[in-house]
Amino acid sequence: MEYLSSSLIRQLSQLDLVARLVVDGMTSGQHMSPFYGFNIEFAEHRQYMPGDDVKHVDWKVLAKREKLYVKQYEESTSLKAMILLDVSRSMEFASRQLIPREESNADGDSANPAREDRYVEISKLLYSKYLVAALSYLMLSQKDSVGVVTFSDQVHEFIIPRSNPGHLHLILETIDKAKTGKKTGISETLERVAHQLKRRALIVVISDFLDDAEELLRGITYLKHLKHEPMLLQVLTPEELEFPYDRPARFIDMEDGSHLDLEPKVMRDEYKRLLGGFMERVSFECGYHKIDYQKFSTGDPVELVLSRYLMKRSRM
Amino acid sequence: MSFANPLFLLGLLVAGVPLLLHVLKTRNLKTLDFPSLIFLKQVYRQKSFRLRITQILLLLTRMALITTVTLAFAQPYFQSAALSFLNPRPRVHAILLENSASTRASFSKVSLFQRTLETARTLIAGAANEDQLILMSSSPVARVVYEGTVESFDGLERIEPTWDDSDWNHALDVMDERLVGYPGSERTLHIISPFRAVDFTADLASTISTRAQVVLHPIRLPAHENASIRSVTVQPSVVTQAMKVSGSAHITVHVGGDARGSSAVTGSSGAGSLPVQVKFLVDGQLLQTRDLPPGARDESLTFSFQAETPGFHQIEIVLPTDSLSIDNRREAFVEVLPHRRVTLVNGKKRANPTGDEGTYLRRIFGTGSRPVDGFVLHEVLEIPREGDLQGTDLLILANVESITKNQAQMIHGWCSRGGSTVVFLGDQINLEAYNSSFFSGIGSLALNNLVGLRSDWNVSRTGGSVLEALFDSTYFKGITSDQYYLIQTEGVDGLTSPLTFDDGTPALALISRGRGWLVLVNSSANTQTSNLPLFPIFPILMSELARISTDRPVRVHEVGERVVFDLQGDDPEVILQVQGPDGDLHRLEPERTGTGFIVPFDNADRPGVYVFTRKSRNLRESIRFVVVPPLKEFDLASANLDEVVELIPGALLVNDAAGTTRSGKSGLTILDFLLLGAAIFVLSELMLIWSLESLILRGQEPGHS
Repeated sequence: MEYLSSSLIRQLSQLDLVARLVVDGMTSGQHMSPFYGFNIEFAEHRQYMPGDDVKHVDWKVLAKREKLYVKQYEESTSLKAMILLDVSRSMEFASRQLIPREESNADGDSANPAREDRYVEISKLLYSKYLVAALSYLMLSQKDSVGVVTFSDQVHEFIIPRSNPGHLHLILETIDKAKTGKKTGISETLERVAHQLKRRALIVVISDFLDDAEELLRGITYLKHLKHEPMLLQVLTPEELEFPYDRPARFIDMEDGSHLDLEPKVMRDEYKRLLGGFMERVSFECGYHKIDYQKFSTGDPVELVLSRYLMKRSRM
Repeated sequence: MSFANPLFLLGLLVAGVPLLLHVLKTRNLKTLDFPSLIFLKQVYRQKSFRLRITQILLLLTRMALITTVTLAFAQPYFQSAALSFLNPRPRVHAILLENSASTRASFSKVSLFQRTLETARTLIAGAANEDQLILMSSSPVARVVYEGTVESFDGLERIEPTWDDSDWNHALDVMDERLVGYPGSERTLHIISPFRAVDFTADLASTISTRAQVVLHPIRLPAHENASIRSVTVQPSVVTQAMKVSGSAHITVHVGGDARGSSAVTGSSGAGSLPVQVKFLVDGQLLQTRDLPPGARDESLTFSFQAETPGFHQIEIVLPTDSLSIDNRREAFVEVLPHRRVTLVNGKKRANPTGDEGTYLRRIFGTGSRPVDGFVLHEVLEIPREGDLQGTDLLILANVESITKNQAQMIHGWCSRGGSTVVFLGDQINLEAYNSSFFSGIGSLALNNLVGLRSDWNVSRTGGSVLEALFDSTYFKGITSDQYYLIQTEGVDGLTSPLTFDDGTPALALISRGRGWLVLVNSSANTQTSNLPLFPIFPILMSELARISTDRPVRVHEVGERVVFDLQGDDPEVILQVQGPDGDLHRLEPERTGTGFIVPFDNADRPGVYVFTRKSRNLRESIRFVVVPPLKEFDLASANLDEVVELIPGALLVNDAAGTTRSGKSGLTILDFLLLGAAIFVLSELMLIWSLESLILRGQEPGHS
């Protein structure tokens, strides 16, 4: 994926374009999409009974044992997925990223080739919208039902899952116009969404998860308890991960407005240690509960991170 | 509580600088939005207490440091008895400055002495009003000029450069006594001097260094332009008319130099320095001039001229006026006597040259109308009276037949006052008359009889006589006599026989008589009894005998020196007086000594020619002597500063020329140390403030920069 200019990607139609570019870019040239097993989960073999569709006969088993077995699937119907997008104020934190000259020239404006490097600001929210768009497009293209919830300390938008292709337009329009809230309240949102989903569903949570770790873990274990399949995608900026500031400054919390006057160089190591500890704990708990957890940095290309994650998931 | 320098209290305002910087920096902090401070707050909570305590302590420390520095400069003084122990020790500034003649040296119209005063003024200005001040000058004798508080000091005007040397040992001695009177005080002795001829002892220097911190302030000039006449010699100093006078002048040239001052002159000529022109004058008339190139060295210049007129002649060596104006003019005197007068009593004047006693003597001494080599011969037939001997240098009795007692007494007296008499013992002398009159007063000296033995003249091995250089056997080889008198010489005081016959009889006898000489030649003055007159040694011997009593060097005395005349047992009942160069007469009184009388003269207070005269009923004698300015030697080149520093343990040396200081063998002054320490302190404090502002007040741990 090529980065697009910020003016373009802010347009609704471009979200669609981005989603297409992401998914098509990943699947192009492949013999088989790696994502078919996403909603066709193999469960067990049973003996062939008259009336069974022969296409389900496992020919390999027949070759080995000379008995007819058919493969049974746990879910033969389409997957229901709900994507939860954190739109709290902290998600507006943007990372200032350098676009090299040749890359910035790739915007397509060949008449005015960029002569210098330039910077774009990519916020966590924008990056998350890319993820939502890409995932929605991907799932809808597989006839899965996709719904989207935007939330902060409360639920802002709730789009129920549907599988018709026109549903993508609604999703993209909704996330594009999504307004940011205040604080992050993940656990309450997870509980509410879990109760509203009658059937078992894939619940993708896209957030920076800068909340109380206990609350977060309580929420996702609750989802797991309700037989849902939670998947956590944590989006952070390089600034949050590395804390690269040098000069003393007043840091203002984007969610509650509090501030601290700090010497970043002094705080950096301890901050990174605490942040790393938090992420490790989340990762450990997710692993323990067999929950997918993946970190994203806005400094990394979306398709690269997404494909890496989905490849990994396909092998699970 | 009062302050010595209250203005320094303004420095307390600096103590607010850390707070001000903190406030300013806090206000100017850059604001950054951050998604969540959840983790940063945890970090901050972990360290907040420690950081705040450290912050407060360091703020207080910084302010205390600045306050301490400020108070140190302000110098608080506590009137309260309970706090008086905090007061600084009273300080004593002892200043010993050199005001010897060498400090008159100058360059660009600034003398060493002026620079000495300038340094002293600087030191005094730097002292507090309540400090004690001891001011001492070093020349001509150590003198305490002022002792009291700095506040009541009334200036340095009472000290002037002298024309004498410094009395360093006495100066340090006196200063040591004064410093002992200030126990418990902080004592500093500043010695301000060019340090050219410092001669105090190491023991004394060591003693005074235990009383006080000794600080040496060498005074230097960028360069100097000096030439001095060290000495002038004239040889001989008494000549007769028509003789050549020669002499030499020893001159030290010290022209040029570099920025390090006098000690740095190493012989290279200074840029732009002109040669030193030396003038030689005789009686005020220019004799010759010589140019000496610039540099640092000693020169010996010779001069000569022909003495024409009798009397004292003044020889002046004059250098151009230089920065020091010392020894630029020096004079010497030469006494030119009239032609030495030789009175010949010719006892046997004959037409035959071999029988004429004056034949060979006239060749030596000339005649009355034709002087030869500074001699003029006055020939008489009878022994002259005493008055006729006035002006005679040598009396020759050549084969004179007889001498009366009165004549003999007169001759002896004349000899004792400086005359010389040569007696040729020819064949016609009357032995009885000579023995009874002429030799009767000279121990057991007597002529026995004339013997007709042929004998060589031999140089006696005993030697030790006057004119010894003449009595070499080669000069007298071949001289023989056909007859001679046997002479009894045993027990005669002051008699030497440098020449003898084969049997030991004196051929030549020298008898000291007072200031003169009596010379016996056991031969005639012609070739009748010996061939002596035919040999080259004869005229030389006679000339030297003529000079033996009159060739006395000119008496030269320095101004102020006591001049003593020895009367040698003569009757002091005479008129004794000295006539000065201005014509004023000084009557003198004789003083008795163990052997006779001496006449002291203490009024030689100005340079010039003086005449000492003694008069009695039958005697009139004059002695001329010269009074010259005192010889002053100023060694401009030997600035032995390192040796001086070595003498004083722990002495500090302030090198004002280079602007640097050395300690021990070299050193900083206390003031320099204080200023340096304060500068470093303030600098480190500023650095501390800067670093603390960024490290501490913003939450960084100490030492985590």
